[in-house]
Amino acid sequence: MELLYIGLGIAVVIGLWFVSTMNRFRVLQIKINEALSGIDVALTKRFDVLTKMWDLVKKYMEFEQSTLEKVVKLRQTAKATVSDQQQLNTGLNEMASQLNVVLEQYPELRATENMQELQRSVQDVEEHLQAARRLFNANVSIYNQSIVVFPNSLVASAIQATKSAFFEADSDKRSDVTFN
Amino acid sequence: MLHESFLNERTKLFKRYVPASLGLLLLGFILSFLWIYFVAILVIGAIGIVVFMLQLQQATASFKDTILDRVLQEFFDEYSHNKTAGLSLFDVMESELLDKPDRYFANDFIQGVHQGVGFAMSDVTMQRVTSDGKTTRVSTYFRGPVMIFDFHKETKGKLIVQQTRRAKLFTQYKSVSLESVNFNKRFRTYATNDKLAFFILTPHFMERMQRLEDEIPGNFYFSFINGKMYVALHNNQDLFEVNMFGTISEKIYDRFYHEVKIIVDLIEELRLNPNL
Repeated sequence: MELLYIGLGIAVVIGLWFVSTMNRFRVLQIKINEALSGIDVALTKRFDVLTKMWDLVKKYMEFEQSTLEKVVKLRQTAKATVSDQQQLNTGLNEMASQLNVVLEQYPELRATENMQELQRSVQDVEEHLQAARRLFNANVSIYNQSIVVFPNSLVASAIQATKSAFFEADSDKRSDVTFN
Repeated sequence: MLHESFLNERTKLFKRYVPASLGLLLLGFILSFLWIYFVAILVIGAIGIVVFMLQLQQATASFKDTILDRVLQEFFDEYSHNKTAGLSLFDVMESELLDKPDRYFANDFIQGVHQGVGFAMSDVTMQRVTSDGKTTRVSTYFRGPVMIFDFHKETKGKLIVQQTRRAKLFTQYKSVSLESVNFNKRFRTYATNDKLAFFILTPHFMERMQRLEDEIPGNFYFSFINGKMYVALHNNQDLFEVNMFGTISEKIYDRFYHEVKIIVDLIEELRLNPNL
């Protein structure tokens, strides 16, 4: 009888630990999702500012408008997944680079009050995006570490929790685009 | 040399007042059997000593002002200094860094602009008074400069960063872990939302904060509230003080220089200038 009680006690303790560990994973997942929505907000702002800027400089552009079309399409189809957001970010980086090229060619355009205001907004949005990305990656790192550590890994494999992907900045565009 | 002229003045005052006052006091004691002379001479001697102390105090204060002005001129184009005024308790409490004191002292208020960044600072002492009915105990829990700087990044919310040693708990805010393991070991971070912490504490900013912690002795407390950066440095020092009877040398200028440089280091090292 005693053995039965001891066994039951151990089972209850294990059950409680299992549930609390599982809950911890869920909380961490929620934090990751919150951080991802922060990235989404920052990308939306970045998209808005860059499109406004694009409208102002389009008459100076000699090259084709495919970049804008591509980014608009990405924005419309982007879902709340890391890879979609990353693709959108890459598209926006491309758009920002092209704008930068035009602004370098036309200093008088760069000097207008409207453009300077937009450039400040771009810089601000970039900083927010960077913060959102770092927060997301920090949460992913905590989650990934907690699911691989023993004995948490037992719970992780039981509920089929897998590692989350980091939000990687493009290696060639890792540093934010700056408008001189 | 400034310190030499102060030394000469101190010696002159000493020669003028001290021997005569002490002589009168001594005479008072000798003539103590004639009580009227005794009282009169004692009073005159005591007045002499008080006048000497007051004049020396004045000379020391003016010496200190001259030295401090010179140091401030070296660093700042725009500044003002008031040795008797200080940051108000309200301003210090706005920083949320320190507990409300039972006794609050602040002096040496300095205000100015460096590299386009406005700042205000003063020397602050905060004490707690406890009593068990029989005895009263006064303990100083903060002593050092408290500084307020303009902060160019938009701060919607509150962020508090303090060194792990002597860290205070902020249960009303979220405890935030940044991605830098070293930074988390040395500082505790609390914020109204974690995104704000990541927004203000960029990797470069965290590195610079750690460098400052290495370079400047004392415990740092930072908060970022309503477009201001508050810094409290608990270093147990009374800044910009000159001992009336202490050794006077050029070292005083160097000491003041290093004390003012704390402000400059914070502005330059943390790159508070919005145009950088």
